[in-house]
Amino acid sequence: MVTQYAFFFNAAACSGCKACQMACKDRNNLEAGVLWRCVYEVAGGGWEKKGEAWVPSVVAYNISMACNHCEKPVCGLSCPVKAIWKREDGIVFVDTDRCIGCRYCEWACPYTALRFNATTNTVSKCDFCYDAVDAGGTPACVAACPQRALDFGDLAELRKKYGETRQIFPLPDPSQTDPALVIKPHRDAARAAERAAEVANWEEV
Amino acid sequence: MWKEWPLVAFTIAGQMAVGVFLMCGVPLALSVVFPASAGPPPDAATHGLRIALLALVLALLAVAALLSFFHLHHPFRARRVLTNLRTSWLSREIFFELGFMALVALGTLLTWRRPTNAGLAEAVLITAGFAGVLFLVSMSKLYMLQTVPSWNQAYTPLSFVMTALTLGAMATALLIDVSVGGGVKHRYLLNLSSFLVAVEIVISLLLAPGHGVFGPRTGPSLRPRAETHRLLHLGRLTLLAAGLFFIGLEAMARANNFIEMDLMAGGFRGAIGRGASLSLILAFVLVLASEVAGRFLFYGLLTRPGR
Ligand code: SF4
Ligand code: SF4
Repeated sequence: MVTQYAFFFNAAACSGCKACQMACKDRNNLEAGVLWRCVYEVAGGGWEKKGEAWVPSVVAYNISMACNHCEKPVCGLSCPVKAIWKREDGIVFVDTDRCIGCRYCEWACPYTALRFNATTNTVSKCDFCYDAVDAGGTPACVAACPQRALDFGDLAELRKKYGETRQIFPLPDPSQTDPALVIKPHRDAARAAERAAEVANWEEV
Repeated sequence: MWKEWPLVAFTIAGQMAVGVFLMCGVPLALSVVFPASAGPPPDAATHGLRIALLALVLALLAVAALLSFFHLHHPFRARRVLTNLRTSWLSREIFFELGFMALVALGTLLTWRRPTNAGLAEAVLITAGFAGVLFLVSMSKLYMLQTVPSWNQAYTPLSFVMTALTLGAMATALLIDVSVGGGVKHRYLLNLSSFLVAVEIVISLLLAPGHGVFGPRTGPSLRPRAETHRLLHLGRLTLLAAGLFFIGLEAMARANNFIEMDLMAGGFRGAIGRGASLSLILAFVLVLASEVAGRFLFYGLLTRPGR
């Protein structure tokens, strides 16, 4: 039995096409501005002197991020009305009938996973396509990726398959929430901070 | 940032209530518990003043509570807000606010009815003082989220306490002036206010860089820094400095009893209240405005991609 569902993201393979983001919006009927999964474009760098020559030294890669169904879901721990709860298989849900719309969880979550939904006047977020997954299917984002950059499954299994990395620039320190996330870093990720990279499309995410 | 106006109003009103209470409620209580410092038995004017100060605290708390509803998108579900006292500082904040309010209300009632058992009112007021402090603590803890590095700093509790004390001292001085008249008697409140405003200026100057007002941002936010933050910071400092000037003027006028200065400082005295001077009112308005600017700045510090 699955005890903690998790996502795998391959930053080395992601082309930034946003198919995952669109598949999610489509499946969940999300209105404009509400993104349960979103793609950050991380970019930075410039010219670097090598010997006598100036050579370009840039970093550029993408991160596709949704709720990480954290093992320590600080969103739910902060919620004053216990509207965020974790199922036995690790999936974290928002109870929109209970949420008072105080938006405190949005501050608490360091992954910007919670999004305010003006239709229900509550927060909303990725529910891991639980109905599809319960029926033996696949989350819409994972199914949509043409690069096979996303995968899902039991956290322990994903770790065995892809390794232990769960943080790359500019994601927060994972010890804050223990995200159920496995990442294969892009080769530029290690230099991103030192090259003063930034999220280039912050208006979109 | 601007959309957080209900929270700006809630936190400032709530902190001011605690501040006024600490400036008046606890001293009131102590003056009876330790009769040595009590002086002559209270006359009608002092009694009225006590009630007025406590009523001001209650009014501020009621306004804060009311305004906080504007922050919720489902206010009618708010009755469940105390559900998560075990892990949510938001639940705890509301718990302490309600507790503080209830205790102040009870204390006011007991003070008003002047029961034979005066000790009871005092005990209630002192307990209320503790509840008020816990209200401030929970308010700070609420924002000191590990996941929000720009809030998880000493500045959060420091600025909240400073807002409480500064506005508390100034509002108390103003109310005393209006209800029983100004004069040298309450000069200590003016001196205290000047000191607190000066401390606020120093704190905001020293700690602003750590908040990314000038340097790079703390934490995971990679959104470009907005010009508004710098302007709010400078605006707050200017307002504080102007406020300090006017309180200083008032304090000096009262200390020296300079007739000309008093006239200048209190040109409108009498027109507004029995003793409220224009310079004190101006100082209060300026400092209040600086707190509002500072609080908007505080909420503006939280930025993640997409915000
Ligand atoms: S990613 Fe954010 S919203 Fe999702 S479980 Fe973790 S803290 Fe909660
Ligand atoms: S917005 Fe809703 S889910 Fe989030 S903390 Fe407030 S009540 Fe809880």
